[in-house]
Amino acid sequence: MKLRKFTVLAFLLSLAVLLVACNDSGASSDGGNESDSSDYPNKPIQVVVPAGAGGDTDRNTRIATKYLSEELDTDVVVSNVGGAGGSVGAKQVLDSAADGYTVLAFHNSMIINDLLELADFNYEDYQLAGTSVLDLGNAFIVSADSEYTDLQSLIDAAKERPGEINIATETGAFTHLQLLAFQEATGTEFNLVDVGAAAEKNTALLGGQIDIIPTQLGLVQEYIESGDFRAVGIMADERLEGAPDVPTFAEQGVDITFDKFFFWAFPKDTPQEIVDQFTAALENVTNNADFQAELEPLLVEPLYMSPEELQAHFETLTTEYKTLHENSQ
Amino acid sequence: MDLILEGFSLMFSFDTILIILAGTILGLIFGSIPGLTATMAVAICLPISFGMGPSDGMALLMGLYIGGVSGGMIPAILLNLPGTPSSISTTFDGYPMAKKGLAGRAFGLGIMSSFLGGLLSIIVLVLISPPLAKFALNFGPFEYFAVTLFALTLISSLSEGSLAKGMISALLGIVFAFVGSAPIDAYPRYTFGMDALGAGFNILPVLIGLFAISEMLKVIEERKKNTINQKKIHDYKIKGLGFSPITFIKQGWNFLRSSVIGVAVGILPGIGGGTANIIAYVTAKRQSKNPKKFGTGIDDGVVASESSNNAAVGGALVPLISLGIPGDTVTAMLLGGLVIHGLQPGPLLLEQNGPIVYGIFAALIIANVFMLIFLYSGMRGFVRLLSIPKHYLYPAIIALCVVGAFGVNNRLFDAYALLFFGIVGYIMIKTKFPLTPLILGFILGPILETNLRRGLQLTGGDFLPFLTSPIAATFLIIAALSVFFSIFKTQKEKKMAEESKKIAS
Amino acid sequence: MHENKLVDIFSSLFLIALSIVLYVSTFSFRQMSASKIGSDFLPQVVAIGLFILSIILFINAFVGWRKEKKLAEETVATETKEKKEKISYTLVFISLGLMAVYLVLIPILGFLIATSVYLFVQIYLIAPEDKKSIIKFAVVSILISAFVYFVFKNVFYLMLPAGILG
Repeated sequence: MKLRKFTVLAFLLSLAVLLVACNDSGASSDGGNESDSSDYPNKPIQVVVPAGAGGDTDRNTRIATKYLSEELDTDVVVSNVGGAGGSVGAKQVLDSAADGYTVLAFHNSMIINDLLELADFNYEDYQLAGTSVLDLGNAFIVSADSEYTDLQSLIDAAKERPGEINIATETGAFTHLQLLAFQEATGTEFNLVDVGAAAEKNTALLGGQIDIIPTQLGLVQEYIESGDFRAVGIMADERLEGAPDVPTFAEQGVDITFDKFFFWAFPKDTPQEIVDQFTAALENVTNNADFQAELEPLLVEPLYMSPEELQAHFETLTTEYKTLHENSQ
Repeated sequence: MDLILEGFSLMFSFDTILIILAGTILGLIFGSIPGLTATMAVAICLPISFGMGPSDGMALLMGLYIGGVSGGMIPAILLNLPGTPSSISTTFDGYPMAKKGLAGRAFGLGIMSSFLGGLLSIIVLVLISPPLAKFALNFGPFEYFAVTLFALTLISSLSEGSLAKGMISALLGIVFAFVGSAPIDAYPRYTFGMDALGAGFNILPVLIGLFAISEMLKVIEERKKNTINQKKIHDYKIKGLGFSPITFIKQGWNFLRSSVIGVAVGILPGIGGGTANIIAYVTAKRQSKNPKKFGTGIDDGVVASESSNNAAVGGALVPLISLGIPGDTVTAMLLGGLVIHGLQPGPLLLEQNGPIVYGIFAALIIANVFMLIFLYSGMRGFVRLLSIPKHYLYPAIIALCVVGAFGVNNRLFDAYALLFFGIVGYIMIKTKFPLTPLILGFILGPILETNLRRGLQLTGGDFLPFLTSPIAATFLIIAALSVFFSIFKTQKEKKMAEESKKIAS
Repeated sequence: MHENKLVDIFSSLFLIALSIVLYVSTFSFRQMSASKIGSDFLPQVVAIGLFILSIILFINAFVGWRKEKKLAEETVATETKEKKEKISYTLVFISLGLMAVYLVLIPILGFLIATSVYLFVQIYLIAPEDKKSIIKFAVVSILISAFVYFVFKNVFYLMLPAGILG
């Protein structure tokens, strides 16, 4: 019995030795673990995408990570952490170590989550790193055999039958806000039906359960080409280069514009040098011709915003969204 | 035809075959380790596949998918642990069979059913996916609600002895699924102010906790006598395929029905392979002449479960390939994979990228063949697993479960959930509540609620359309009959038991 | 046999209490003004269902228990209870506690060390008395942990907590 106790102790002791040894070797190669940013990055960087695989958030992020890992010369690994409109993943980054090895890749919905009280934090709680992608193709899509050929016919129909035309949304998501803006701008009322995320919206439109879906033009292009869907318009200042046939809302007399920007952010207190390095890499990626070429068929464009520009953009949008949200209540 | 040939020629290079082989084996490993699933295998290998060309990348993912779904039978049969949700009902008869010393037979039947079920579904996928996908589009919220309710009533056939206990277990499953943000409005429910609960429980920790952790606790409590079973399972002989051809021919109808159920459930986005095997198993039991034998190690049970879960793979790919709509978590990731490779999934995928699509079909078939070969040749090896002393095996499994749970969302909360559900599962076993209805309730509860609420949003709060849709009405009637029939049967059995008691005394 | 019914009585009482808690909790769910049927609808239906089923279970169990008790009283003199298999609940509880400690230690010590320690203690606990070999267990524990850690971290890029090794 005594012998056994002794061996248990020996085991624990050897573990302790192992531990110290590992720490030592770590220290010598790292030159000290204490947030020395001079050799950042020296291990894989984890990118948290607060949405499931297969959507546009995931897609845009993954394409960027390919080039980011070249720029930073380390592996950049995507983890999908879905739930609660993205606030679960965002929260996870907020709570993780501020060492530059965990970064959030998200979009406008961060403002909306805060607005709807799904999250008790917002962009100010992060160390913003910049943006990589801008999506101006926020469109209204109808079935190809729909009676709504343009916005006017849609508005007329909605005025005739208020609250009867089914329009898809994902409650509390970016598209929800677009619908609120549209209803307010045109004085119409639609029946807002939650049908879920992008893929489910397509299904509902294909299956004829819904009349209109607001979604990213790039996500439904295939269906437009195949003659299943038709785009009624996009909420942008100008027509998209990749889709010159789709008119803007403004052209059709409804003056609303939305842009969806995909940004990167670190937990607060991440060393400035590290963020700077990441931001520089981000800028290089957006200037990379291969990256730009890869985005083209998706109808999104590369856009680099510096942390300061991003901060300002966030501030403007927050006020804008807040007004919209309050007016709708 | 040219397309098919072109597709196959894409896959028949040495490198690609090797990639499929690697994918299948890796998938089998992931599927066979409790705590690791096909979903995780695909998630982890997704970035690796980006580095390859589109055809090689897809080949890898298909191998992983097929392997991951099939590997679950190994721990299900040998250890009574469903390695993935797809193999829950494989444990019902596979494990009792193995306990009787017939592990070889269980494997033989399971592997053959998996192979043929997978093959059948791939044929369906290649030949008739566009019309099938179009039909699936008829399923709106009303229809989904009805189908889900129907699937939930099936639990009444799963609850041994007490109908009430089975239903309570299912309701508890729905309750656990409530935790987290509500569908539609995403407001938190039953989170008790804890941030971590905001995302709710993931299916993996729930499943592994209920089945694997509680199983280990059972092993611990019976520590003294466990040497006995172990020997028996280990001591068996495999002749040829493990079963005679006649046995399988006898299973023909059961196989066909289960595969069709697998394909059908697979096609419906969201419901997926995790429930296909349970539905197929229950249907087989209900249609059987001797339902009492189910759960004692009967061929029908293994065949139903294993053919349906592999058939669900082809089913889930139907809407993905023909409409660009993912049917389950794995296909959602495949969708992402396609996009990254510059292929836009949607109605034009086949037209614009025919060779690649047929290449995917070819990869599926090749992966299926590899799965068959590998599992058959490995059969004897798997049983060796049991010769690892249990005191090594189970703790190692727990560690892997923790890794798996952590890997779900890269957070430790899911590992805590694993432990919590281990305790819940153990208590339920001790108090004789069946576990499977809980899993079914957990998977189906959110689908039920989401579609109920979506349906009511569409109708402006009117319940009537749930009954006037022909598809929905049919399923609701079957559901009602199913419950009625179960209650009637239990009452009758009770009476008969009492009468026989009286006669005996 | 009538112990089974007793278990049912206790579990049904617990479930009745649970269903009430579940029902009452729905009052505090936040609601979206837009939706017609709120996030509290199905939880309330389920809580009511759970309540009714638990009552049924309770009645069944209670009636059965009374019957069996009577029967048991009549036959008690003639029958001696079968000796139950000895179940070592202590080990079950210790193992559960151990797992909990393991999970708490992961972020502190890192996966590698926490798993080694856990495996070692767990293996030691449940190994048959005649096969206990500390050195072997230690080696096996460290090997398994190291293997899992390096495979997942370096091959699959799963970010397992590194803890103090980080």
